[in-house]
Amino acid sequence: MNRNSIHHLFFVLLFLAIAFSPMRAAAQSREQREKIDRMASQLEELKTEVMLLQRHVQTMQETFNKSTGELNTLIVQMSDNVSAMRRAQSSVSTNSGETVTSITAMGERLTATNQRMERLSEQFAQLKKLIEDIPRMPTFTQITPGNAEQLFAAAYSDYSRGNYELAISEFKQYVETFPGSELADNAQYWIAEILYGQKKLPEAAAEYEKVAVMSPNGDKSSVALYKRALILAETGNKDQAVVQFQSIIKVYPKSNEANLATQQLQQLAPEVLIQPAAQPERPPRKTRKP
Amino acid sequence: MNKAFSILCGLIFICAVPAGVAPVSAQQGQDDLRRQIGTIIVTPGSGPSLAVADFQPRASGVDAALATFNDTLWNDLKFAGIANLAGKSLYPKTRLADPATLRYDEWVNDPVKADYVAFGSVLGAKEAEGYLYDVKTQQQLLTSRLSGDARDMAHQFADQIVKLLTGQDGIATSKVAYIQNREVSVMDYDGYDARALTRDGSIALFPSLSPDGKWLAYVSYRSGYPNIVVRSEDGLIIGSTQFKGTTTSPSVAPDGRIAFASSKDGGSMDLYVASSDGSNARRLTRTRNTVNISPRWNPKTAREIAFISDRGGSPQVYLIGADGTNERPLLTLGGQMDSPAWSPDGRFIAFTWDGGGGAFNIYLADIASGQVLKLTREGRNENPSWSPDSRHIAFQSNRTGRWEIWAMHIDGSEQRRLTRTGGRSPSWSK
Repeated sequence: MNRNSIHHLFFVLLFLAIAFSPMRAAAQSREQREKIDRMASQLEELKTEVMLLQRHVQTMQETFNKSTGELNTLIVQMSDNVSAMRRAQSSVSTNSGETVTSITAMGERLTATNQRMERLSEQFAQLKKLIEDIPRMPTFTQITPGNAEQLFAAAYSDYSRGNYELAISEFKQYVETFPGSELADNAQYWIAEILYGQKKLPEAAAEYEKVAVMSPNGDKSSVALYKRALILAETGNKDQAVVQFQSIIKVYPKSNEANLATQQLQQLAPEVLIQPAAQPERPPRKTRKP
Repeated sequence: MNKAFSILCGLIFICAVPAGVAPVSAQQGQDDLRRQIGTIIVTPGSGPSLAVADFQPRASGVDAALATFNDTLWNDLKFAGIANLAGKSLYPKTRLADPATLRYDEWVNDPVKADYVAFGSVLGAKEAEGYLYDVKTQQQLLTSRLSGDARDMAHQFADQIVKLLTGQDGIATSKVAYIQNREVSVMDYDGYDARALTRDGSIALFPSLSPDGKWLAYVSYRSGYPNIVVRSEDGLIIGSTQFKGTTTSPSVAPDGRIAFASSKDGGSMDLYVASSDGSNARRLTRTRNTVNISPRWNPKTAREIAFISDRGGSPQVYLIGADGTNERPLLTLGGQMDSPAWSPDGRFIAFTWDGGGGAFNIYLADIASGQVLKLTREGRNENPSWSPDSRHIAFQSNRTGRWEIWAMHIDGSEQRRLTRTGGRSPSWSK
């Protein structure tokens, strides 16, 4: 577009503006009146709303006042309740104070105990491991219930190893469980022998006597009676001991105990001793009886 | 066994008829007894694993002591039979001298796989410190300051480890008396430090140490007749028997009493018990034309005595009360038996037996069940003697062509020679 064309357009537009300006002022006046009317209407509406709101606020105020009264009543009631609770609480406060202290102390002790338990558990686990790992020394003989031979072997093993109380218990169990067995008198003998070794003389004498009663011709009867006679001599019953030694020589002349009884009589009462017959060679014992 | 005495007994035993009584099934008895002993002696694959790292030097000039210490400690713990020793070739290359350098995972994991590790340092020629750790739980079990010469220190530390792992006293400081060149000698339990105990200039036989090692009884010809002589541990003569027959095979009880066999004044060979000085001899057996020899106390109870008698035909093992009562056979298996030895814990009797076939070996018998286990197989083996812990047996063997003292575990394993210049009749004590 050139420069002359721009000038032409400018003058056309200026003409048009001057020509239409009165029409425009008349239109503006009409619009202003309509606007004022609308504003007056709106003002009336606002006055109505304010009046309604005032009425609503009044209602709410009345409601609030009522609620406040109720609330105050509630607060009073709560206050009474709290006071009652405090009174109740104060009445038990002494005891509860002690109880709380006790519970605290118990809690501390429980904690300490738990720690100890944990340490003990650790030590127990270590001990258990050690026990499982270490090579064991001679173990106790396993006993199958009802197996007389195993029970006797275990009892005699314990006697040989110096476990006397255990051995007595096992020998007694043997005598009670297998009273008619071939080794019952042997078990009875070892009960007496352990007691004799422990210097329990009256008890040992009674147990020795049972041996000869159980099996007068058994392989332990002569030695049991000899030991019983020894106890009689040791406890001051010399006359009874002499009679017993004489009886052994008479009843079991081929036994080694007859020789030993003779030696005892030589010391206790040589006057009663008849020249003992020469001892024939003893036949060998073929059976293995502990 | 002394040659003259062997001839004496042999003449009497030559016509003996084997008793032929076999109260136990031999194979079943051996298996059962071997199983039981398997719980006493640790065998490969059973029991804990112990690694014993070489001690490290902490001072100059201790190389010789260090080598002796490490060798002795290893041998002590290997012979103790309380744990499997993990081989040293498997150990970590890092030198382990003190707890600060111990890395648990190196010892717990492959290839060592140890439960326990022993290690330490030699601080000087006569000073060392040792440690034992449970490497699985990462706990120190033992810390020990040791003093003495290298072998003493190793023995001390080995015994401390044994005590800690088993609760029982070890044997590393025990000693063995034996006969060499007609005199009584004594050596450490591993054969070292042998020295003469007697210089009688006569013939000494059958030494017997008391269980506490404080008394020595032996047979001496110094009076012209073989009699029992008793000496204290410092060599002083306490007493002796004064018989004119053959007196032999003494055994000392825990309370010092002596049991022995004697033909006294030329009569039959019977058993006697005397006071510790040889006085107050009391006859236990009374037999005719019978030999009763080799009495051995039950050292646990001192109430019973095992011995050899041929009253049943052939020499077998019998028992008798220490007061002479309750005599009875214990083992009647036939063949010829000799030199019974009662274990210190009272449970077993070791003895010499030819098994009826003429080859003498060491056997083990369970007192209560009568089950028997054969322990030796090579050469001729005689005169067993128990270690104080009841887990080992010393004996004499001619398997090398000469009588020497040997020792082994009671299951027959770990047989090792203790003497190199001859030895007979061992007696092992604390």
